[in-house]
Amino acid sequence: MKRTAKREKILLGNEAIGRAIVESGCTVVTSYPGTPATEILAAVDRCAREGSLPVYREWSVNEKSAFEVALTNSYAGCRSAVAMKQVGLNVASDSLMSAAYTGVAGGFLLISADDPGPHSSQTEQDSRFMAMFAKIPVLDPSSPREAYEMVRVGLELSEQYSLPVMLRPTTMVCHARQNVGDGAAIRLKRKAAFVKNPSRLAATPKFRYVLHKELNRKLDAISKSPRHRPVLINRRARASRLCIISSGAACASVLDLLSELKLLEKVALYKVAMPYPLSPAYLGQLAASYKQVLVVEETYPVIELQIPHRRTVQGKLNGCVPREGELTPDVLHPIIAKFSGASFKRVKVPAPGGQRPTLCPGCPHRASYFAIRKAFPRGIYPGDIGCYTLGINIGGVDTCLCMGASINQAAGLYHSYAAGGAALPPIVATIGDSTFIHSGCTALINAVYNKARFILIILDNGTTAMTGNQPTAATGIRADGSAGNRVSPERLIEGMGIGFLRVIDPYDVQGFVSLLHDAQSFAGSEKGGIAVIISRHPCIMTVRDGKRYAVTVTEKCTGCRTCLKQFECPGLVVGDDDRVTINHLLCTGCGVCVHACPAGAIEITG
Amino acid sequence: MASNNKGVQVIICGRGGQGVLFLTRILDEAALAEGKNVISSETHGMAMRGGSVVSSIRIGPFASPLIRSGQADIILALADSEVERNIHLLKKTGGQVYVNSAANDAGAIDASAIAHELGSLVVSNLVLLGFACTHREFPFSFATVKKVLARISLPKVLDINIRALTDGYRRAEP
Repeated sequence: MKRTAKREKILLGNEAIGRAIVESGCTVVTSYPGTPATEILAAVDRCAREGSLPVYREWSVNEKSAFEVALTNSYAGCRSAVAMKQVGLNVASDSLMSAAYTGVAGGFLLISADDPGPHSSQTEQDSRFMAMFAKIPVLDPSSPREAYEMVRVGLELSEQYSLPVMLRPTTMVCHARQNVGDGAAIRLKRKAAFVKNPSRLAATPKFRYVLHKELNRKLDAISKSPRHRPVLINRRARASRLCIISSGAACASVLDLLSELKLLEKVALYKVAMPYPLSPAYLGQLAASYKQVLVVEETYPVIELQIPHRRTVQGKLNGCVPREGELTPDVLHPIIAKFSGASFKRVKVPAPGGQRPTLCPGCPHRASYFAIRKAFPRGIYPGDIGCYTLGINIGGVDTCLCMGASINQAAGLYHSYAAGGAALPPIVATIGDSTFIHSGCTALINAVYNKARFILIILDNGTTAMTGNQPTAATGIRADGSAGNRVSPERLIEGMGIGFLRVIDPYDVQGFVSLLHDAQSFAGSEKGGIAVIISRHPCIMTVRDGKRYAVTVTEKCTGCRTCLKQFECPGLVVGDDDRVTINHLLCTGCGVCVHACPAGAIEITG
Repeated sequence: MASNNKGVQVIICGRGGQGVLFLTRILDEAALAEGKNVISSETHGMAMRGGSVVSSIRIGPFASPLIRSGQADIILALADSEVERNIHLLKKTGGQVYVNSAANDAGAIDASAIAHELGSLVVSNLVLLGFACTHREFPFSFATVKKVLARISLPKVLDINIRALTDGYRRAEP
């Protein structure tokens, strides 16, 4: 198929979104890194730079800050966008619920990237449900090209009705690449002009009732407007008996399957660009025009629940479509075949598995977890969100709830054991530097205030590594590469009045183990408190100029594989003779593994 | 060239860090250079830390980047061990597998060894791609791929990238 004459580029879904944000005239764009949303802000930065456009862009310290900074630019009449992953929206949800009531003056686009699967998240939550809960419209793109167009549509809708609008791409849109037409940036030439309106922007409960009523009126008007209604994709199937209603990435797979199975004349496919708010009257009429209706959406039944009479409707509510997991073509094929009466042969799909992810060779986190396990084999280890969650592979992570939870959970464990008078085990919480600033520092204040006692290790690799090395507040580098003010974790912790604070390089395993024992004497004593250790070594993805050792495995190796189980470095592999050997192509020469062999077979030779 | 009006569907698999993403980008850009519609998907996030990684590329009239079982025309495997996990995606008849492997099979090339000789293991992905270009069923010619690679490579690795691609192409010639 030939592309149209327009100049095109291959864009990642997130690049398409970032480009459209700049081209639509947004002047403040904020984000906190999180897969699958991370690349949006980098694209905004690149696009603003290329066009020398006056776009303020910031990596915020968390999603709530990101949301509120961007929202306020829209209060001042300008266009704004904020990007985050779906669980990030939980952090910003307090702001979202209220912002739906206050409304905006300039366009405000919230991008919440969902992760059906999940590929890289702790939940499969559906942000469209969050939009429904907050009572704001949500757009659901099925491809990078559509995401690109919907940014502009969303900002226009936001300005037309003076309310926040959500764009909800999923992983298969964010991380798809497609040829996308090149647009031109519009220049709105608006200047910030905050118009005071306290009865709206600082509304008391009495006025909130009025605002709620107004919000409901806006939603009614949007749902009745024909502009964002479901669209019939294959007009030749209008008079058929069967109909599929679908949105997002799943809709793209449905379309491909209908085409492949030669069902485009037999099954009408309605694409829903805006899954909320839909008009119940319209949906009822649509459902009544077909004998059978199938709703295909990820991951919650948002469209399905808005259909008023569901007697002829199949979907997640009647168990016809799975209620969890990604709706891949392999999942959808039997569902669509059955729905349309087409024959199909089930293909055996192997169970998911393959190589599990692991910390990189030379990763300082591995050294930290190894030292923790060595010092306190019977400790309890509340963990957190980041690369270092992979410390689970070597037994260094016992919990992983959400961003910043490790510290509250360490405090919770302390209070739990202390309340019942049970013997207190060593409690060692680990949290990354970026996560500590995101939501760990407020947790630490709470723990200090309430006299919890545990060891906290801040794994400071000087970057947000998991999402591709975005800068943190502690580095003082900003989203556009300019210098900001460095926020010092040490001074922050000292300011809380913590009595034990040490900094160590985790490559010094013996020193780390002995420091951990010191920390436990402090945390274990009733006169002590929280002991904080900053384990500081740069991420090997950012700095590779450290000292390198030549490491070898000698004849002393008994093939016991303790190093593989307790250290799990990709650089250590089993050789032909069943003994462990070094894969020198992967080994970074950090030399930490010499501590991992009980027989002393791993040696530094130079 | 295997290209027809039904399009071409390609799977690229390997481990995080082996360059699956870069190969995906090259094929996307090659499709664009030839004026074709293309949509592809790739793995990001935690799986990149040495875990199994897979990309799918669909060139032609497709709406979704995802490939259904038994529909892929080509599998490019950067690690021998990843073939098994993805082989169900391949067409039962006419599907081609090109794999980085020391085994002496049709469709196999020891790309890691060749890349190691070139002094950079990370270019084994390009050795494999060069090798794939020698096959009639591969959707792009060596010349197209080389032109794209020259355009998108960073200056400091341009030379080694082109050498890796060319080596993979030449080694396969009888």
